Amino acid sequence: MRSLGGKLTVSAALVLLFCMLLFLLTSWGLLTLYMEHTGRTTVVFHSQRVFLLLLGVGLFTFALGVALFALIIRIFFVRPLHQLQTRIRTQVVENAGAILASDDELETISRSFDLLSESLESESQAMTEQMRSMLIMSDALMSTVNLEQLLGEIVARLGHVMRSKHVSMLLYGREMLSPWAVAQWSEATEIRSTSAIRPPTEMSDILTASQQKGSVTVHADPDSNVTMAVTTKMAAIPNPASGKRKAVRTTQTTYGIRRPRIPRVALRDLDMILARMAIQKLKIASGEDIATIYQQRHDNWARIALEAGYHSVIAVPLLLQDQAIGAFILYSDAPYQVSSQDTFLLSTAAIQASMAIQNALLFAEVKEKNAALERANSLKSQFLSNVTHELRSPLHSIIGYGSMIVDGFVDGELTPQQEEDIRFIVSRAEDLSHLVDEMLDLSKIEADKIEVNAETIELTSSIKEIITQLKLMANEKKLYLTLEIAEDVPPVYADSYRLRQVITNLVSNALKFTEQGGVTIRCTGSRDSDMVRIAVHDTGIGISPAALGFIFEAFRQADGSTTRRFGGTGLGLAIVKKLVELQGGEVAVESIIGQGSTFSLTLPVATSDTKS
Amino acid sequence: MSTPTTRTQAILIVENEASNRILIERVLSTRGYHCISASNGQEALDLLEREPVDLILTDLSMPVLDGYQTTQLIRSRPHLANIPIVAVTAYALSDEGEAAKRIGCTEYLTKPFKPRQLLELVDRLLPAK
Repeated sequence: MRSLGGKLTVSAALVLLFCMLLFLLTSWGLLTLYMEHTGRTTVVFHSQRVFLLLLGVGLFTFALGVALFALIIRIFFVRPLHQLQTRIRTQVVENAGAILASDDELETISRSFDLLSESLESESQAMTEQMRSMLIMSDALMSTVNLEQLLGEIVARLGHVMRSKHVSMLLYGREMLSPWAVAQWSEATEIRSTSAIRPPTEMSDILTASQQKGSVTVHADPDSNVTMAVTTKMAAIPNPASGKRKAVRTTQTTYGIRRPRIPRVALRDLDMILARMAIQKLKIASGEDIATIYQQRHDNWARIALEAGYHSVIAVPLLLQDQAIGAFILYSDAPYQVSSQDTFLLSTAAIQASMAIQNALLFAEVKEKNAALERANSLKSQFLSNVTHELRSPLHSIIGYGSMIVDGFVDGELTPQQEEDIRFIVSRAEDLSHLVDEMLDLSKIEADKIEVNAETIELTSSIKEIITQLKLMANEKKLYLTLEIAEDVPPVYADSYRLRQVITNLVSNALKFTEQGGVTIRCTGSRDSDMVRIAVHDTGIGISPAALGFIFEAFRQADGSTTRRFGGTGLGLAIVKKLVELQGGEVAVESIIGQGSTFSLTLPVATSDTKS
Repeated sequence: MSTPTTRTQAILIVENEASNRILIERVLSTRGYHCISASNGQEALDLLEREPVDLILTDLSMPVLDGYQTTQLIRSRPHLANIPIVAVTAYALSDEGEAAKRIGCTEYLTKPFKPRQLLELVDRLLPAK
């Protein structure tokens, strides 16, 4: 019943029913009247008068029905259609700007519908296009980490999407009176002439967004601590009072705040005034028709804008966590009414832009810090290497001269006390010399200046050779030092010099921390396995479970007190670990307090490939 | 050990540290070796032109001309090709002694060394005549 067609059918059916009923009733009444009048009980149909009577009644009823139907149609259908038509006409005039000839009303209606849908379609298409551009922009912004490139992208894309004549973006740090970064985009034709007069030094600053028409200029202050400005001192000018606007213009040179090195040509007064307005309002500010604004209020900025040939302007603050970090300004050379859709679009763009800027700044900060760390680390290594080198020469003299006296290379006899004192001097100097050597080792390892020349090594012979020297130390402390090695232990692929260092270090450590019993070196492994394990087991004081976790770290001994009791620097195990790892193996430690410790390392088995 | 035995062999000591040079001289002179000193490789090469020498002890890190270069230059002279050269190295992870041997040194001695070690090595390389 809701559709027009349905209504039409129903009303036609009703009128028909009504007419039939009327015809039946009238003809029946007339027939009865006629019968009573003639006194007959049956109707004689061939009587011509009856026929004429029925025909008359029928015609009357038909006429009545037609009149009734026309009336109903007029009231219920034609009038609302008329109303609809006028409404459409006004709409079409409003939207499409076309005035329709009203010759044929139905055609008018259909044409107005066409025009209306066309205009709506183009509007929605434009909107989709803008949204698509925004999406692409957000993608592009998020993937650009170079700050200058990013700023250029933002202004170029905004100008393109919003079809502006000129776009400026200014970024401020907290308490900064002038921006630390300025990015500008202009339509292609205009800037090409300006870029020609630019001095060549500034040409390097110019970045052109490849896929857009137009020219982009970016100035970001390379020497100012931009990262500080944005991450810690982020957010701009905290003076929302409008009375300060004048002060701002005069403070450009008076205060001692560090001014970033943005070329003066890039700092346009108009940009700065408008950016300040947007930043202080924290909302989009717009001048839809600058000529009218100037006529009414005589604003300074409106005058400057008109002189520059702009007739409408939109200033959008860049907000980050409710604080403004800057603003971008869109200029156009014709008056422009800002729609709610524009506002939505621009505020979305602003959020994306400020997030992308923060992103880029954080990235730059991390990169910078990494570089600084690397520099510091290499300086540290260099320093350590220099210092240790300088420390070694005098130590070697002390040890050499001391030994010369003790070993009797000078004339005259020493008293036992004197001899003992000099021995003590020599032995302490030797400790110091070891410490220096180890520091040098570690700094070299950490600076990756260590080369490993791996070769195939027969363990039995090489370890026996290493042990010969260590046996002296064991004998002095009356400890045993034994080697347990199975005959089928395969040769390993390692650096013989490093292997000697590692085993010497582990065994002398083991001997140092053992008072009773001794040290066993155990080699296990078979030709089927990938690695050979060399374990140095002692019956010494053991290591506490807590200390086992960090025993391979540099400068750590199991217990602070052990340094005093046993000497040593705590560098040895760190060096061992690194040397073993450089050769492709691993180190491990097991220990029970009071029963002893086992330090073990693995080395890769020499294969037929490595043998050659 | 302090009884000086007279020998006639001459030893050239190339070392830029004066204290080390004197130490080596004193230890060697207790055995009667005749010691000549040079404080860098260039001086050593000049000296070798003038004086006959039976053994050379050279430090590896020196200004002007370091031990490696000096050794190579000495070995390049035909009349000095077979003279024993002992490299005196400081302890280092990058195995300087072996490197020195590869470029022509006869032996190496790692600092800090005891006088006894020095004498043992020199006596071995220079059998008493």
